[in-house]
Amino acid sequence: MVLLVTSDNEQFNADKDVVERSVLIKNMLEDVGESDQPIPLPNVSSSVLKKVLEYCEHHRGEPLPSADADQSQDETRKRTTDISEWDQKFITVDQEMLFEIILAANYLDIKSLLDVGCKTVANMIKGKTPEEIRKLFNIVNDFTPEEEAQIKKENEWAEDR
Amino acid sequence: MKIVVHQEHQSRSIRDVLSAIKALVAEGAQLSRQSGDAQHTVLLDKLADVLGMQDISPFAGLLTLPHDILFEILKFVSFRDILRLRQASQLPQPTELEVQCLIFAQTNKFLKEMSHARLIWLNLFNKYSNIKPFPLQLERPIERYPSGDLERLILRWKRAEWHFTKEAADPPLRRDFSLKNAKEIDHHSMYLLKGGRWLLFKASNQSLYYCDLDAITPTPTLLISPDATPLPGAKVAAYFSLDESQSSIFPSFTLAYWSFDSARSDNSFGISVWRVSFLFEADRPDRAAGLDATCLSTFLHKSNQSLTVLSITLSGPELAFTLWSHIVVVSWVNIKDPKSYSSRILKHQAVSKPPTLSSSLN
Repeated sequence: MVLLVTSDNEQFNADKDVVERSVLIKNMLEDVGESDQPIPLPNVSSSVLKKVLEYCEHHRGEPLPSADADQSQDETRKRTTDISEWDQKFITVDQEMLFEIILAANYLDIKSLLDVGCKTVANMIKGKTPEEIRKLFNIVNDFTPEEEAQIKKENEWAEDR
Repeated sequence: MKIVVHQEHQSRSIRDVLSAIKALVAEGAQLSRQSGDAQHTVLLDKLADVLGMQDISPFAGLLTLPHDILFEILKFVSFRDILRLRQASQLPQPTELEVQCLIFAQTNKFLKEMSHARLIWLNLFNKYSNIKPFPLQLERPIERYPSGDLERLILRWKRAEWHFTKEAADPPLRRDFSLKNAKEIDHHSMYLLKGGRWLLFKASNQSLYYCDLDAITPTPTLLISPDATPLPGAKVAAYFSLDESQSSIFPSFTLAYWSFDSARSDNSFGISVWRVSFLFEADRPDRAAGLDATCLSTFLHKSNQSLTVLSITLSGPELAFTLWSHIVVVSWVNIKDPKSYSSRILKHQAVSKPPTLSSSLN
């Protein structure tokens, strides 16, 4: 078992093969060797780590993508935004949690979880108008009306399908 | 500060609306601190406390994500979605990103940021280039396209594609240029190089010109002057043929040029083969600034029957040209004496019979 300590000082006990889906933790464990020392995760809160561990537990035992993964495989991955049914259900969270999971997956170096998060955000962006995107992500419209009209004009050809 | 909860929010979950309010509070607190508005700062701090926000540092949201994660997300969307995102807010755009990169360069993130910005367009290129019946042709290997060039290329291509499907009367991009420096264009001798940026054309005075169609004001520039051709002063139109098949990380191609002077009495015409290379400016090694031609071989061909070349084809070390009665194939790389060299002659027979091959010494 491995002991993890979150930014809000909560402790989590998890199986080694579960937490080793995180390349960061795997490398840490390899560096320190056999040890009961808790691993501090100052960038991850307890609520987020709970979700991350849920993901790692579900995907336990699945092959990890190698660092020098075949490029063609990587290309295929980029082209599809399909997400498995379980992952889709898992990632159905509010936006705050979604972005926190993405940040944690990036920090902990869990490529497959980062992919699920990024694909989810990409799917939220797809096909939306600029105004819908603004509302969805609470983005402030920082264009002047003139700038907005100009940029709309430049890109209107792409909208007329 | 005015907080507007849009009607659309009603269809969103309470958690998402709460997230939206928290984001607005965090943003408002940041703005009021920046502007030194103490009254609002206190108010927003209290609101943050009520909402149970541990801190009101910038909220985790799309725009607060590190750039490398934002690029990861944008890899999954289409060019149209990227254009829409651009309109949503002043998101990092490739050109602005380059400016940002100069700042990041001081913190050693320059190369990282640069490669990620390019990744968006590289991914779009990979996504689109293989699925269409007419793949996008590049003038140089993809590795030598910086992000700005790649973006221009993809958007121009998609725009042209859109116009083809719309059967629009006006072209998506129109280029007008004056020929005041070039003589009249020979309309039979025009060639658009792979990638669509460089247009080669021959003026009726035998000069070969090129034009950069990406330039704001395309200007014809001389590539091969009449004085450099085998028959200086020839007044008759010439043809040229290009061989772009050579693969090299330094893009270049060969060009064959036929010229004929009707005033000449020795029944001969001239052919020259040129190496055309791209010129680069020192500060832009990834973007060609012009073309340059160097003569590789030149020779005279004598013929008692006809001096009119109907067509000319250059393929690697060999060159073929068609006359009224026969086709001549020359290994131009092996020509040592421009007046006496080996060639193969493919005689024309009746149309129904295949041509036969015979060797001859010119």
